[in-house]
Amino acid sequence: MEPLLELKDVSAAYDKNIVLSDVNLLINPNDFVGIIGPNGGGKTTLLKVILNLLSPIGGDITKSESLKIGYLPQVNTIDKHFPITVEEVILSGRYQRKSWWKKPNDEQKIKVKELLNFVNLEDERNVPIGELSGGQMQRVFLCRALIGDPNLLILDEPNTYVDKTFEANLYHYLGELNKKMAILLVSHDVGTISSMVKTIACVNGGLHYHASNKITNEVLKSYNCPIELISHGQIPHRVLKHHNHE
Amino acid sequence: MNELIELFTFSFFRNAIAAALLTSVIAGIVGSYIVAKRSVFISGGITHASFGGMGIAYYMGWPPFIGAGVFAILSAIGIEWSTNKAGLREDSSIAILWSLGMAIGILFVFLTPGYTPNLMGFLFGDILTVKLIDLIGLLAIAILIIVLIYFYYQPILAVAFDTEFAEVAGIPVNLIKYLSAIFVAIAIVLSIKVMGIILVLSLFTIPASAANLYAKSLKNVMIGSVVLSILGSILGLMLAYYLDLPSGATIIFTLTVIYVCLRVTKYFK
Repeated sequence: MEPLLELKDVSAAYDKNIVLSDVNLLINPNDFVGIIGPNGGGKTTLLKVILNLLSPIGGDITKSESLKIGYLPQVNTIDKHFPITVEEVILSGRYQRKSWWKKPNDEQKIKVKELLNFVNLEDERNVPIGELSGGQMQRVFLCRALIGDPNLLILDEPNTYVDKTFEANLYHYLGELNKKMAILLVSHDVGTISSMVKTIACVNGGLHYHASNKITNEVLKSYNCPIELISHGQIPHRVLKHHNHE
Repeated sequence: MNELIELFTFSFFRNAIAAALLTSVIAGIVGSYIVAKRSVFISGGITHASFGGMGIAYYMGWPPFIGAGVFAILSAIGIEWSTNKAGLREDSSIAILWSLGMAIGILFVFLTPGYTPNLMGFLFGDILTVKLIDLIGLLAIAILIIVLIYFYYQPILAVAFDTEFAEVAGIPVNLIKYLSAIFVAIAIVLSIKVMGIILVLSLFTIPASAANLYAKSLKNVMIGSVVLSILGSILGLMLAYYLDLPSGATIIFTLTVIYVCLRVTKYFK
Protein backbone atom coordinates (compact mmCIF):
# COMPACT_ATOMS: atom_id res chain seq x y z
CA MET A 1 0.00 0.00 0.00
CA GLU A 2 1.52 3.26 -1.09
CA PRO A 3 1.47 5.90 1.64
CA LEU A 4 -0.47 9.09 0.87
CA LEU A 5 1.95 11.37 2.56
CA GLU A 6 5.33 11.01 4.15
CA LEU A 7 7.36 13.61 6.04
CA LYS A 8 11.00 12.80 6.71
CA ASP A 9 13.00 14.91 9.17
CA VAL A 10 11.01 17.98 8.25
CA SER A 11 11.86 21.26 9.97
CA ALA A 12 10.05 24.53 9.64
CA ALA A 13 10.66 28.05 10.90
CA TYR A 14 9.26 31.56 10.90
CA ASP A 15 12.01 34.17 10.51
CA LYS A 16 14.69 31.79 11.80
CA ASN A 17 12.58 30.82 14.82
CA ILE A 18 12.52 27.07 14.50
CA VAL A 19 9.02 25.86 15.31
CA LEU A 20 9.28 22.28 14.07
CA SER A 21 12.39 20.16 14.01
CA ASP A 22 12.95 16.75 12.47
CA VAL A 23 9.33 15.75 12.23
CA ASN A 24 8.51 12.34 10.77
CA LEU A 25 5.00 11.49 9.81
CA LEU A 26 3.52 8.76 7.67
CA ILE A 27 -0.08 8.72 6.54
CA ASN A 28 -1.50 5.66 4.81
CA PRO A 29 -4.90 5.38 3.13
CA ASN A 30 -7.71 5.16 5.71
CA ASP A 31 -5.49 6.14 8.63
CA PHE A 32 -7.03 8.25 11.35
CA VAL A 33 -4.24 10.26 12.92
CA GLY A 34 -4.88 12.61 15.80
CA ILE A 35 -2.32 15.29 16.48
CA ILE A 36 -2.29 16.90 19.89
CA GLY A 37 0.02 19.44 21.39
CA PRO A 38 0.07 22.66 23.37
CA ASN A 39 -0.76 26.01 21.82
CA GLY A 40 2.37 27.31 20.13
CA GLY A 41 3.75 23.78 19.88
CA GLY A 42 3.72 23.80 16.09
CA LYS A 43 0.46 22.05 15.21
CA THR A 44 -0.69 24.73 12.78
CA THR A 45 2.82 25.03 11.35
CA LEU A 46 2.85 21.32 10.64
CA LEU A 47 -0.45 21.66 8.78
CA LYS A 48 0.86 24.63 6.80
CA VAL A 49 3.85 22.56 5.69
CA ILE A 50 1.60 19.68 4.65
CA LEU A 51 -0.72 22.08 2.80
CA ASN A 52 2.16 23.75 0.90
CA LEU A 53 1.44 27.07 2.58
CA LEU A 54 4.89 27.14 4.19
CA SER A 55 8.12 25.80 2.74
CA PRO A 56 10.08 23.64 5.16
CA ILE A 57 13.70 24.62 5.87
CA GLY A 58 14.80 21.02 5.86
CA GLY A 59 13.70 17.45 5.27
CA ASP A 60 11.66 15.70 2.61
CA ILE A 61 7.96 15.60 1.92
CA THR A 62 6.74 12.82 -0.34
CA LYS A 63 3.21 13.01 -1.61
CA SER A 64 1.43 10.25 -3.46
CA GLU A 65 0.35 11.07 -7.04
CA SER A 66 -3.19 10.31 -6.01
CA LEU A 67 -3.16 12.56 -2.93
CA LYS A 68 -6.15 14.89 -2.78
CA ILE A 69 -6.42 16.94 0.37
CA GLY A 70 -9.67 18.27 1.81
CA TYR A 71 -9.04 20.96 4.39
CA LEU A 72 -11.17 22.29 7.22
CA PRO A 73 -9.44 25.36 8.65
CA GLN A 74 -10.05 26.84 12.07
CA VAL A 75 -13.39 28.54 11.84
CA ASN A 76 -12.21 31.74 13.53
CA THR A 77 -10.09 32.57 10.49
CA ILE A 78 -13.24 33.12 8.47
CA ASP A 79 -15.09 36.38 7.90
CA LYS A 80 -18.64 35.54 8.92
CA HIS A 81 -20.11 38.69 7.41
CA PHE A 82 -18.83 38.04 3.91
CA PRO A 83 -21.71 38.07 1.39
CA ILE A 84 -21.55 34.46 0.25
CA THR A 85 -24.12 31.69 0.23
CA VAL A 86 -23.71 28.18 1.61
CA GLU A 87 -23.66 26.73 -1.90
CA GLU A 88 -20.98 29.19 -3.05
CA VAL A 89 -18.80 28.33 -0.05
CA ILE A 90 -19.04 24.61 -0.77
CA LEU A 91 -18.37 25.05 -4.50
CA SER A 92 -15.23 27.01 -3.70
CA GLY A 93 -13.73 23.75 -2.42
CA ARG A 94 -13.68 22.01 -5.80
CA TYR A 95 -10.21 20.69 -6.48
CA GLN A 96 -8.99 23.21 -8.95
CA ARG A 97 -5.27 23.07 -9.57
CA LYS A 98 -5.68 22.34 -13.26
CA SER A 99 -9.11 23.82 -13.82
CA TRP A 100 -9.45 26.71 -11.40
CA TRP A 101 -11.05 28.99 -14.00
CA LYS A 102 -13.90 26.62 -14.83
CA LYS A 103 -17.42 27.35 -13.72
CA PRO A 104 -19.07 24.70 -11.53
CA ASN A 105 -20.95 22.10 -13.53
CA ASP A 106 -24.27 20.38 -12.82
CA GLU A 107 -22.57 17.33 -11.39
CA GLN A 108 -20.83 19.49 -8.81
CA LYS A 109 -24.08 21.24 -7.95
CA ILE A 110 -25.74 17.88 -7.36
CA LYS A 111 -22.78 16.95 -5.18
CA VAL A 112 -23.45 20.07 -3.09
CA LYS A 113 -27.00 18.87 -2.43
CA GLU A 114 -25.79 15.40 -1.47
CA LEU A 115 -23.23 16.79 0.94
CA LEU A 116 -25.80 19.12 2.50
CA ASN A 117 -28.05 16.11 2.99
CA PHE A 118 -25.19 14.27 4.65
CA VAL A 119 -24.78 17.04 7.23
CA ASN A 120 -28.53 17.76 7.53
CA LEU A 121 -28.42 21.25 6.06
CA GLU A 122 -30.40 20.64 2.86
CA ASP A 123 -32.65 23.68 3.46
CA GLU A 124 -29.75 26.05 3.98
CA ARG A 125 -28.29 25.91 0.45
CA ASN A 126 -29.04 29.50 -0.52
CA VAL A 127 -28.65 31.06 2.90
CA PRO A 128 -25.79 33.53 3.45
CA ILE A 129 -23.27 32.10 5.89
CA GLY A 130 -23.75 35.03 8.25
CA GLU A 131 -27.14 33.59 9.21
CA LEU A 132 -25.75 30.23 10.32
CA SER A 133 -24.86 29.11 13.84
CA GLY A 134 -21.28 28.11 14.65
CA GLY A 135 -22.06 24.41 14.32
CA GLN A 136 -23.91 24.86 11.03
CA MET A 137 -21.02 26.87 9.67
CA GLN A 138 -18.56 24.12 10.63
CA ARG A 139 -20.70 21.60 8.78
CA VAL A 140 -20.70 23.83 5.69
CA PHE A 141 -16.91 24.04 5.83
CA LEU A 142 -16.78 20.28 6.22
CA CYS A 143 -18.79 20.03 2.97
CA ARG A 144 -16.38 22.45 1.31
CA ALA A 145 -13.50 20.18 2.33
CA LEU A 146 -15.33 17.15 0.95
CA ILE A 147 -16.58 18.34 -2.44
CA GLY A 148 -13.27 17.63 -4.16
CA ASP A 149 -13.49 13.93 -3.17
CA PRO A 150 -10.36 14.00 -1.02
CA ASN A 151 -8.52 10.89 0.12
CA LEU A 152 -6.99 12.81 3.01
CA LEU A 153 -9.17 15.04 5.16
CA ILE A 154 -7.30 17.52 7.35
CA LEU A 155 -9.18 19.14 10.22
CA ASP A 156 -7.72 21.97 12.29
CA GLU A 157 -9.35 22.19 15.72
CA PRO A 158 -12.82 21.25 14.44
CA ASN A 159 -14.27 21.19 17.94
CA THR A 160 -13.65 24.80 18.93
CA TYR A 161 -16.50 27.33 18.76
CA VAL A 162 -19.13 24.66 18.25
CA ASP A 163 -21.92 23.38 20.40
CA LYS A 164 -21.69 19.97 22.00
CA THR A 165 -24.41 18.49 19.79
CA PHE A 166 -22.33 19.31 16.77
CA GLU A 167 -19.27 17.80 18.36
CA ALA A 168 -21.05 14.49 18.81
CA ASN A 169 -22.33 14.75 15.22
CA LEU A 170 -18.88 15.58 13.94
CA TYR A 171 -17.46 12.36 15.33
CA HIS A 172 -20.31 10.48 13.73
CA TYR A 173 -19.52 12.09 10.36
CA LEU A 174 -15.82 11.42 10.76
CA GLY A 175 -16.46 7.76 11.53
CA GLU A 176 -18.44 7.50 8.30
CA LEU A 177 -15.85 9.41 6.28
CA ASN A 178 -12.94 7.39 7.62
CA LYS A 179 -14.29 4.39 5.70
CA LYS A 180 -13.50 6.27 2.50
CA MET A 181 -10.53 8.48 3.34
CA ALA A 182 -7.64 9.05 5.70
CA ILE A 183 -8.18 11.69 8.35
CA LEU A 184 -5.67 13.94 10.06
CA LEU A 185 -7.21 15.76 12.98
CA VAL A 186 -5.48 18.43 15.00
CA SER A 187 -6.71 19.33 18.45
CA HIS A 188 -5.53 20.72 21.74
CA ASP A 189 -8.29 18.69 23.36
CA VAL A 190 -7.08 15.15 24.00
CA GLY A 191 -10.26 13.89 25.58
CA THR A 192 -12.28 14.06 22.43
CA ILE A 193 -9.53 13.17 20.03
CA SER A 194 -8.62 9.88 21.65
CA SER A 195 -12.04 8.31 21.34
CA MET A 196 -11.88 8.18 17.56
CA VAL A 197 -8.34 8.05 16.29
CA LYS A 198 -6.25 5.05 15.43
CA THR A 199 -2.88 6.72 15.91
CA ILE A 200 -2.01 9.67 18.05
CA ALA A 201 0.95 11.99 17.78
CA CYS A 202 2.04 14.91 19.87
CA VAL A 203 3.56 18.00 18.33
CA ASN A 204 5.70 20.07 20.62
CA GLY A 205 8.64 21.30 18.62
CA GLY A 206 9.13 17.77 17.35
CA LEU A 207 6.56 15.10 16.72
CA HIS A 208 6.15 12.04 18.90
CA TYR A 209 4.21 9.04 17.78
CA HIS A 210 2.15 6.76 19.86
CA ALA A 211 1.05 3.60 18.14
CA SER A 212 -2.41 3.35 19.65
CA ASN A 213 -4.98 5.78 20.85
CA LYS A 214 -4.50 5.19 24.56
CA ILE A 215 -3.02 8.19 26.22
CA THR A 216 -1.59 7.58 29.61
CA ASN A 217 0.29 9.72 32.00
CA GLU A 218 3.46 7.86 31.16
CA VAL A 219 3.03 8.40 27.45
CA LEU A 220 2.51 12.10 27.84
CA LYS A 221 5.44 12.39 30.21
CA SER A 222 7.88 10.45 28.14
CA TYR A 223 7.01 12.49 25.06
CA ASN A 224 7.25 15.73 27.01
CA CYS A 225 3.78 16.66 25.89
CA PRO A 226 2.29 19.21 28.27
CA ILE A 227 -1.34 18.53 27.53
CA GLU A 228 -4.32 18.49 29.79
CA LEU A 229 -6.76 15.68 29.51
CA ILE A 230 -10.27 16.97 29.05
CA SER A 231 -13.39 14.90 28.94
CA HIS A 232 -16.81 15.91 27.72
CA GLY A 233 -20.26 14.72 28.66
CA GLN A 234 -21.53 13.89 25.19
CA ILE A 235 -21.31 10.69 23.22
CA PRO A 236 -18.99 9.39 21.92
CA HIS A 237 -17.53 9.50 25.34
CA ARG A 238 -14.42 8.21 26.93
CA VAL A 239 -13.00 9.23 30.25
CA LEU A 240 -9.29 8.78 30.50
CA LYS A 241 -7.11 8.42 33.50
CA HIS A 242 -6.33 11.53 35.52
CA HIS A 243 -2.87 12.84 35.33
CA ASN A 244 -1.03 15.38 37.41
CA HIS A 245 0.97 18.22 36.09
CA GLU A 246 4.22 19.18 37.59
CA MET B 1 -40.29 68.57 -17.95
CA ASN B 2 -39.39 70.61 -21.03
CA GLU B 3 -36.51 72.02 -19.13
CA LEU B 4 -35.29 68.49 -18.43
CA ILE B 5 -35.46 67.54 -22.12
CA GLU B 6 -33.70 70.75 -23.02
CA LEU B 7 -30.94 69.81 -20.60
CA PHE B 8 -30.19 66.73 -22.66
CA THR B 9 -29.58 68.83 -25.76
CA PHE B 10 -26.39 70.07 -24.13
CA SER B 11 -23.53 67.75 -24.94
CA PHE B 12 -21.80 68.48 -21.63
CA PHE B 13 -24.85 67.22 -19.78
CA ARG B 14 -25.19 64.10 -21.93
CA ASN B 15 -21.51 63.39 -21.30
CA ALA B 16 -22.01 63.93 -17.59
CA ILE B 17 -24.92 61.45 -17.48
CA ALA B 18 -22.92 58.90 -19.48
CA ALA B 19 -19.94 59.34 -17.17
CA ALA B 20 -22.17 58.93 -14.11
CA LEU B 21 -23.67 55.72 -15.54
CA LEU B 22 -20.31 54.19 -16.45
CA THR B 23 -18.69 55.21 -13.18
CA SER B 24 -21.64 53.68 -11.34
CA VAL B 25 -21.11 50.36 -13.09
CA ILE B 26 -17.37 50.37 -12.33
CA ALA B 27 -17.66 51.63 -8.75
CA GLY B 28 -20.64 49.38 -8.05
CA ILE B 29 -18.84 46.18 -9.02
CA VAL B 30 -15.37 47.05 -7.74
CA GLY B 31 -16.82 48.66 -4.61
CA SER B 32 -18.76 45.51 -3.72
CA TYR B 33 -15.51 43.56 -3.93
CA ILE B 34 -13.64 46.09 -1.78
CA VAL B 35 -16.37 46.22 0.85
CA ALA B 36 -16.73 42.42 0.98
CA LYS B 37 -12.95 42.01 1.33
CA ARG B 38 -12.80 44.76 3.97
CA SER B 39 -10.17 46.60 2.00
CA VAL B 40 -11.82 50.03 1.96
CA PHE B 41 -8.84 51.51 3.80
CA ILE B 42 -6.44 50.07 1.20
CA SER B 43 -8.51 51.73 -1.50
CA GLY B 44 -8.33 55.01 0.38
CA GLY B 45 -4.55 54.70 0.43
CA ILE B 46 -4.42 54.01 -3.31
CA THR B 47 -6.70 56.95 -4.06
CA HIS B 48 -4.65 59.45 -2.12
CA ALA B 49 -1.31 58.04 -3.25
CA SER B 50 -2.39 58.70 -6.83
CA PHE B 51 -2.32 62.43 -6.09
CA GLY B 52 1.47 62.15 -6.01
CA GLY B 53 1.54 60.91 -9.60
CA MET B 54 -0.83 63.67 -10.58
CA GLY B 55 1.46 66.31 -9.09
CA ILE B 56 4.53 64.94 -10.87
CA ALA B 57 2.65 64.76 -14.17
CA TYR B 58 1.56 68.39 -13.72
CA TYR B 59 5.12 69.48 -13.11
CA MET B 60 6.44 67.57 -16.12
CA GLY B 61 3.59 68.67 -18.36
CA TRP B 62 2.26 65.11 -18.85
CA PRO B 63 -1.42 64.15 -18.80
CA PRO B 64 -2.26 64.17 -15.06
CA PHE B 65 -4.42 61.03 -15.17
CA ILE B 66 -1.56 58.97 -16.59
CA GLY B 67 0.58 60.05 -13.64
CA ALA B 68 -2.23 59.24 -11.23
CA GLY B 69 -2.81 55.84 -12.84
CA VAL B 70 0.85 54.85 -12.62
CA PHE B 71 1.04 55.89 -8.96
CA ALA B 72 -2.22 54.13 -8.12
CA ILE B 73 -1.14 50.84 -9.71
CA LEU B 74 2.33 51.00 -8.13
CA SER B 75 0.88 51.68 -4.70
CA ALA B 76 -1.71 48.91 -5.05
CA ILE B 77 1.04 46.43 -5.92
CA GLY B 78 3.24 47.90 -3.19
CA ILE B 79 0.61 47.41 -0.49
CA GLU B 80 -0.06 43.83 -1.65
CA TRP B 81 3.66 43.08 -1.70
CA SER B 82 4.64 44.79 1.55
CA THR B 83 2.01 42.96 3.56
CA ASN B 84 2.82 39.62 1.94
CA LYS B 85 6.57 39.76 1.93
CA ALA B 86 8.11 42.59 3.89
CA GLY B 87 6.23 41.87 7.09
CA LEU B 88 5.17 45.50 7.48
CA ARG B 89 1.81 45.86 9.17
CA GLU B 90 -0.85 46.56 6.61
CA ASP B 91 -2.55 49.58 8.18
CA SER B 92 0.82 51.25 8.79
CA SER B 93 2.03 50.71 5.23
CA ILE B 94 -1.26 52.10 3.90
CA ALA B 95 -1.05 55.20 6.09
CA ILE B 96 2.54 55.86 5.00
CA LEU B 97 1.66 55.53 1.33
CA TRP B 98 -1.48 57.64 1.79
CA SER B 99 0.31 60.66 3.25
CA LEU B 100 3.48 60.26 1.18
CA GLY B 101 1.43 60.37 -2.03
CA MET B 102 -0.42 63.48 -0.92
CA ALA B 103 2.86 65.12 0.14
CA ILE B 104 4.52 64.43 -3.23
CA GLY B 105 1.45 65.80 -5.00
CA ILE B 106 1.38 68.98 -2.94
CA LEU B 107 5.14 69.56 -3.41
CA PHE B 108 5.02 69.20 -7.18
CA VAL B 109 1.87 71.26 -7.60
CA PHE B 110 3.59 73.94 -5.49
CA LEU B 111 6.73 73.75 -7.66
CA THR B 112 4.77 73.99 -10.91
CA PRO B 113 5.05 77.58 -12.08
CA GLY B 114 1.91 79.59 -12.69
CA TYR B 115 -1.71 78.74 -12.13
CA THR B 116 -2.64 75.06 -11.87
CA PRO B 117 -5.90 74.63 -13.72
CA ASN B 118 -8.42 72.00 -12.64
CA LEU B 119 -6.70 71.28 -9.33
CA MET B 120 -10.03 71.69 -7.58
CA GLY B 121 -11.51 69.37 -10.18
CA PHE B 122 -9.07 66.63 -9.20
CA LEU B 123 -9.80 67.07 -5.52
CA PHE B 124 -13.59 67.37 -5.73
CA GLY B 125 -14.49 66.00 -9.15
CA ASP B 126 -15.63 67.78 -12.28
CA ILE B 127 -18.28 65.74 -13.99
CA LEU B 128 -19.46 68.59 -16.23
CA THR B 129 -16.14 68.77 -18.10
CA VAL B 130 -15.98 65.07 -19.01
CA LYS B 131 -14.75 64.62 -22.58
CA LEU B 132 -15.36 61.90 -25.14
CA ILE B 133 -11.93 60.40 -24.51
CA ASP B 134 -12.75 60.04 -20.78
CA LEU B 135 -15.98 58.28 -21.69
CA ILE B 136 -14.16 55.85 -23.97
CA GLY B 137 -11.73 55.01 -21.14
CA LEU B 138 -14.60 54.48 -18.70
CA LEU B 139 -16.51 52.32 -21.19
CA ALA B 140 -13.47 50.17 -21.95
CA ILE B 141 -12.76 49.50 -18.26
CA ALA B 142 -16.44 48.91 -17.48
CA ILE B 143 -16.67 46.27 -20.22
CA LEU B 144 -13.39 44.66 -19.15
CA ILE B 145 -14.51 44.45 -15.52
CA ILE B 146 -17.88 42.93 -16.46
CA VAL B 147 -16.18 40.33 -18.68
CA LEU B 148 -13.65 39.42 -15.98
CA ILE B 149 -16.31 39.11 -13.29
CA TYR B 150 -18.49 37.03 -15.61
CA PHE B 151 -15.78 34.52 -16.42
CA TYR B 152 -13.78 34.51 -13.19
CA TYR B 153 -16.43 35.16 -10.56
CA GLN B 154 -15.89 31.86 -8.72
CA PRO B 155 -12.10 32.05 -8.28
CA ILE B 156 -12.26 35.78 -7.44
CA LEU B 157 -14.92 35.03 -4.83
CA ALA B 158 -12.94 32.11 -3.42
CA VAL B 159 -9.76 34.18 -3.04
CA ALA B 160 -11.59 37.14 -1.51
CA PHE B 161 -13.48 34.93 0.94
CA ASP B 162 -10.70 32.66 2.16
CA THR B 163 -7.30 33.24 0.57
CA GLU B 164 -5.50 30.46 2.41
CA PHE B 165 -8.10 27.87 1.49
CA ALA B 166 -8.11 29.04 -2.14
CA GLU B 167 -4.37 28.52 -2.23
CA VAL B 168 -4.75 25.00 -0.88
CA ALA B 169 -7.47 24.32 -3.45
CA GLY B 170 -5.01 25.20 -6.22
CA ILE B 171 -6.20 28.61 -7.36
CA PRO B 172 -3.33 30.90 -8.46
CA VAL B 173 -3.97 33.21 -5.52
CA ASN B 174 -1.17 35.67 -6.18
CA LEU B 175 -2.12 36.19 -9.81
CA ILE B 176 -5.70 36.95 -8.84
CA LYS B 177 -4.68 39.13 -5.89
CA TYR B 178 -2.32 41.32 -7.90
CA LEU B 179 -4.62 41.53 -10.92
CA SER B 180 -7.57 42.59 -8.81
CA ALA B 181 -5.39 45.13 -6.99
CA ILE B 182 -4.46 46.62 -10.37
CA PHE B 183 -8.08 46.75 -11.49
CA VAL B 184 -9.14 48.37 -8.25
CA ALA B 185 -6.46 51.01 -8.82
CA ILE B 186 -7.53 51.69 -12.42
CA ALA B 187 -11.20 51.82 -11.44
CA ILE B 188 -10.45 54.34 -8.71
CA VAL B 189 -8.34 56.60 -10.92
CA LEU B 190 -10.96 56.70 -13.67
CA SER B 191 -13.66 57.52 -11.14
CA ILE B 192 -11.57 60.39 -9.75
CA LYS B 193 -12.48 62.37 -12.87
CA VAL B 194 -16.11 62.25 -11.82
CA MET B 195 -15.95 62.33 -8.04
CA GLY B 196 -12.55 63.76 -7.17
CA ILE B 197 -9.88 62.28 -4.90
CA ILE B 198 -11.59 63.32 -1.69
CA LEU B 199 -15.04 61.96 -2.53
CA VAL B 200 -14.39 58.97 -4.80
CA LEU B 201 -14.12 56.42 -2.00
CA SER B 202 -17.72 56.97 -0.98
CA LEU B 203 -18.93 56.02 -4.45
CA PHE B 204 -17.22 52.66 -3.92
CA THR B 205 -18.50 52.12 -0.39
CA ILE B 206 -21.97 53.64 0.13
CA PRO B 207 -23.89 51.77 -2.63
CA ALA B 208 -22.09 48.51 -1.80
CA SER B 209 -22.85 48.85 1.91
CA ALA B 210 -26.49 49.61 1.09
CA ALA B 211 -26.78 46.59 -1.22
CA ASN B 212 -25.10 44.49 1.47
CA LEU B 213 -28.09 45.10 3.72
CA TYR B 214 -30.32 42.98 1.51
CA ALA B 215 -28.22 40.89 -0.85
CA LYS B 216 -27.18 37.36 0.09
CA SER B 217 -24.25 36.83 -2.25
CA LEU B 218 -21.47 38.95 -3.67
CA LYS B 219 -23.04 38.67 -7.13
CA ASN B 220 -26.25 40.24 -5.86
CA VAL B 221 -24.38 42.88 -3.90
CA MET B 222 -22.65 43.85 -7.14
CA ILE B 223 -25.91 44.11 -9.09
CA GLY B 224 -27.70 45.98 -6.31
CA SER B 225 -24.81 48.31 -5.82
CA VAL B 226 -24.66 49.21 -9.53
CA VAL B 227 -28.41 49.94 -9.54
CA LEU B 228 -28.26 52.08 -6.38
CA SER B 229 -25.19 53.86 -7.64
CA ILE B 230 -26.86 54.74 -10.96
CA LEU B 231 -29.96 55.92 -9.12
CA GLY B 232 -27.97 58.02 -6.67
CA SER B 233 -25.63 59.60 -9.16
CA ILE B 234 -28.31 60.53 -11.73
CA LEU B 235 -30.58 61.95 -9.02
CA GLY B 236 -27.63 63.73 -7.44
CA LEU B 237 -26.55 65.18 -10.76
CA MET B 238 -30.06 66.56 -11.42
CA LEU B 239 -30.24 68.03 -7.93
CA ALA B 240 -26.81 69.59 -8.34
CA TYR B 241 -27.87 71.17 -11.62
CA TYR B 242 -31.17 72.58 -10.41
CA LEU B 243 -29.89 73.78 -7.03
CA ASP B 244 -26.57 74.91 -8.46
CA LEU B 245 -24.51 72.81 -6.04
CA PRO B 246 -21.19 70.96 -6.54
CA SER B 247 -22.07 67.68 -8.30
CA GLY B 248 -19.75 65.27 -6.46
CA ALA B 249 -20.87 66.33 -2.99
CA THR B 250 -24.55 66.26 -4.00
CA ILE B 251 -24.20 62.72 -5.38
CA ILE B 252 -22.63 61.54 -2.11
CA PHE B 253 -25.42 63.18 -0.18
CA THR B 254 -28.09 61.49 -2.35
CA LEU B 255 -26.39 58.10 -1.98
CA THR B 256 -26.26 58.53 1.79
CA VAL B 257 -29.97 59.35 1.90
CA ILE B 258 -30.66 56.15 -0.09
CA TYR B 259 -28.50 54.16 2.32
CA VAL B 260 -30.28 55.58 5.38
CA CYS B 261 -33.71 54.84 3.84
CA LEU B 262 -32.75 51.22 3.16
CA ARG B 263 -31.23 50.84 6.62
CA VAL B 264 -34.36 52.18 8.31
CA THR B 265 -36.62 49.99 6.14
CA LYS B 266 -34.60 46.95 7.13
CA TYR B 267 -34.81 47.89 10.79
CA PHE B 268 -38.61 48.03 10.73
CA LYS B 269 -39.05 44.91 8.64
